[in-house]
Amino acid sequence: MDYNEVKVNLRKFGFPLSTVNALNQIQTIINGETSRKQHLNEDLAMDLISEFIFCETNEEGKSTKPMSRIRYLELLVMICEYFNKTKIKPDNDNCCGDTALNAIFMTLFPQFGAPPQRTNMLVSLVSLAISTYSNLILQSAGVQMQQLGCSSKYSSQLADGLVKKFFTFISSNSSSLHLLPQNAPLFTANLMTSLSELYFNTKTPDTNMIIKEPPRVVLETVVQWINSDPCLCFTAHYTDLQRALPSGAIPMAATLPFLGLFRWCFFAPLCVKNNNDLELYSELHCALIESVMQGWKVYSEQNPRVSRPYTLSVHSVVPQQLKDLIEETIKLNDPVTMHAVEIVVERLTQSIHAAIISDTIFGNKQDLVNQLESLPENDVLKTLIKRIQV
Amino acid sequence: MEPMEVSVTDEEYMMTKAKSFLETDCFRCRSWLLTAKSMFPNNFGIHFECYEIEKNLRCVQRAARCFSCLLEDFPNEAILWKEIENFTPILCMDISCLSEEQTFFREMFSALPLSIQQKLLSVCAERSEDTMEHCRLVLLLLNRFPQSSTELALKLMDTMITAEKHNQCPNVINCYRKILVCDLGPLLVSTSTLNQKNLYKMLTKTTEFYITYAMGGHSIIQNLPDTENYIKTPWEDLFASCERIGKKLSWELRSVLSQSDKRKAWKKVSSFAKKFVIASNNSELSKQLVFCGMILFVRHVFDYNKSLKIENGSEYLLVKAIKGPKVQINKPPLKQAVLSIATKLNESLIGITDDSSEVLDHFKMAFNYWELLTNKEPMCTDYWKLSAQIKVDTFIGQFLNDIEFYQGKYKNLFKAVPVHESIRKSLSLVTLYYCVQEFKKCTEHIFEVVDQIESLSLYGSVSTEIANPPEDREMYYIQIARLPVLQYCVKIMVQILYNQLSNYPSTSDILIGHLLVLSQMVWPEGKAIAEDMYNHIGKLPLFTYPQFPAYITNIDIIEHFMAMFMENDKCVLNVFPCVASSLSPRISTRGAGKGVKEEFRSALKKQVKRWSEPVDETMLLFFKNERESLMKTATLMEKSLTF
Repeated sequence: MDYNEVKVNLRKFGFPLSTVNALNQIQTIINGETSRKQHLNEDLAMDLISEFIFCETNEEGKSTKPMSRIRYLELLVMICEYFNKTKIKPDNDNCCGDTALNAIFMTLFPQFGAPPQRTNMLVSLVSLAISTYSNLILQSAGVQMQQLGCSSKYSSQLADGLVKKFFTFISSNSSSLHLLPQNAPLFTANLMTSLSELYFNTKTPDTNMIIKEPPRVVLETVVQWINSDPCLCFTAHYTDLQRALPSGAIPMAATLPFLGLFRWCFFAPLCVKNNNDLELYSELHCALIESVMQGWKVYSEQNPRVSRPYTLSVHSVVPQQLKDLIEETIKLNDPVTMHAVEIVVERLTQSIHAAIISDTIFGNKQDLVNQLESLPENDVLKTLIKRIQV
Repeated sequence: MEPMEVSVTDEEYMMTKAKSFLETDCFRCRSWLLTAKSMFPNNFGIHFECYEIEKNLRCVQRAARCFSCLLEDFPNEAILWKEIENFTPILCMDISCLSEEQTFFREMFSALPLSIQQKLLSVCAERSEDTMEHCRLVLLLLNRFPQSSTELALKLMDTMITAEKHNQCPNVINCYRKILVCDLGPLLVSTSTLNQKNLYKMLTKTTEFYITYAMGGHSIIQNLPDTENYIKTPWEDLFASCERIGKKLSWELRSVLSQSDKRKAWKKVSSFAKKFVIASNNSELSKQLVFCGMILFVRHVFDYNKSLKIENGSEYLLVKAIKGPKVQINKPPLKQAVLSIATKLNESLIGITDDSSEVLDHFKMAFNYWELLTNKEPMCTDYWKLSAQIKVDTFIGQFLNDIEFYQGKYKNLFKAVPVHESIRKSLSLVTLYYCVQEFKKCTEHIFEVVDQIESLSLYGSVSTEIANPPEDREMYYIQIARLPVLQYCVKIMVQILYNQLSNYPSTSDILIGHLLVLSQMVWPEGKAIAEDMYNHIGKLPLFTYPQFPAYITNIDIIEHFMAMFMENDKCVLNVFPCVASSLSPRISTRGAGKGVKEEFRSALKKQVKRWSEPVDETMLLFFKNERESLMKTATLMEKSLTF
């Protein structure tokens, strides 16, 4: 069918039929015919998406008014249903979803080339998918996040959008959040990684060193997720992304949420003032070291052929900002803050020990010792250094 | 980075540190424990302490994780096994009566990996020395892991049967049998581990247990915890169990057990018997029929017994119907007349004194099964074998007695009369002595009944069934209540007196008077008796019955006496003692006896006023005061029959 013919045909229908037909058309374009030149196909798909699905452009390719709220909702539900009606192949696990759907998802919500309002659409769609247990969308989103990198702008925007537009309006007791690790483990793990980068992070271009805390509901949810399954944090590592991607795509290396979440635990005693939150960080820390020690052990016993992941890296485990913060705090010489420093060192020691025990630490032994010796003195730390040096 | 040798102080330091945060921050404490455990993977003390800390924190999941690690890494530690011995018995206990700690153990056990649960259960079951505990552990094992050994299940069946024997359980309702039938049975049957012989064994044990429980009126089974020491729906459970076993034996007839329409069930059973069993003489089919048939039969007897004792505390008794009064009683037959039961039950032979039809229905159904099971080969042999095994006869005594009564085997029934003094006992004897025509004894027991009748709180109502039974009625169920029982006794007395009157018309005055009194109790049917008596009186020159004012309250009779007095001048009515003194043979002569006439009239008028007095009170008074003359009449009457 001719390039223009497709559009003319689709224009014969109004919403919602035009959208349904467009979705089917895109499916055949992306996953079906290979005779056409690939870039032409992609262009056509992009055009169809912006004109018939998100209604961002009109017939002439000019931008249109934003759609009404009702239409917006109808469209979300329609996309959800489109993904839900697809039957998953029996050999698929609940991580990668359906390869064909993943390709459509990537075209619908690409990293580049889409207008900014589509990011909002993505956040709304994922929120709806979490609430309605539309697992295939979540699985596709998880694959896309990993492929683009969990700390990429795309993933960060999605994670931040979810926090602002979804988490803050939902209780951490909600069963849709509780069941997320079972329904879409890859998405959950990657979302945790993205979330972990959003807070207690000074890498952001902001040089003002404003350290952001996660909202309580996010903290509670993350703790609950990790406790529900000690292997969850390793999901991105052992997922075979290749199977999830369209042919020819090269899978990106996985990042795990450990480093970012451990950083939360290290910064929290020095930055967080709320006692209830501090207790939660204690629980998070406990859950993390348990996951580091148990999770990989459990998984690798069942799957001996998967390579070993790294939970911590010698070079980033004690960030400079943390060292600075500790030094500043020590200068205050206040017994309360000194106690906080003690906790930080204690957690550092325990997490490094956990990584050593599980043999998932990356880096050089001497570098690690040097890093540790730069920290304030502490009995447990000494024991650990002794053990490392043997 | 291999773990290195660390001094004891390091371990102690870690544990002290960990425990110092137990109160303030349990997650900090746990982080320390995790670190300590990973630093000293071979130190049982640390690992066990971690478990105990989680146990004291009542954290089921973490404790379970610690515990399974302990079992894996230190399988030979005595302390660990002591802990296991502490909590395995809890698994067999009832959930509702567990302490907080026991509940925790239970939950922790469920949180353990399945393979560890199975291993623990089988090891503990083997170690257990107490039969009940052993059995419960094996049951638990079988329930949770149905794929585990079938040999174990069979062994347990034998263990339970032997335990029942060894512990010399006085009856079938004991804890071992209950567990065998209610817990192990369904499990064994559902997993198809039993061969045909064992299936029959289980079926017999099950049937015996439930029938004894339901029919014997058992409630509590000894040596079991409160929640499982009773059976709420023994019949339903019996039907379900037998259907389950029947299915394994591929019994076509098994569906009749759950059939809610009893008539349809009976139709199925009887046609099955006719079609297959009687014709083919097949022993398998016969067994099937006898098992299903017997269970249904006993169930009907159960319903029958229940319907004999109705809710308001009264009961029914099957008694001989009293016809008449104009029935000529002949000399007692030499041989007992026996009603044949080879034919179908003749429904019109039996009635009931009130509207309730339940008793009759249940009797009829039970009778049908009884007749089917005991009258034809090959069922007959099988039935008696099974019935002896399960001791069915001990539970269906009442029904068997009533069958004998129906068959007319009265002489056998004297020994079946209840031992304790009761109105039921006396009334049974009344009807039995009546049946064998020993009227003296019969009357004696009527007086016994009358003596006890005032203790009956239930009044009941008079019944035409007693007063005037239908022609072909031979017996009926009488409600043991004041009015029907009294009416029944009156009916017998009427018959005795009537017979005596027709045999010896000379001694008639008192008989006529008594019959008039008694006829009031069976009014309006008694009207015929009264009219007969008026005729008798009309033929007499003088009728003397001074008890008249004491017992006659019936307005019709009083009115008739008034009329007789006014119209008839042949007979002198000497019925008012107060008037009698001035009586002369020619009382009716005009003028001369005018004063007497007035006196008689006013005495009758006075008598009329008593018309509303309850007739049963009058009757009781009559029986009390006239005992001697009634006894005399009965004795004479009996003699006249024997000689």
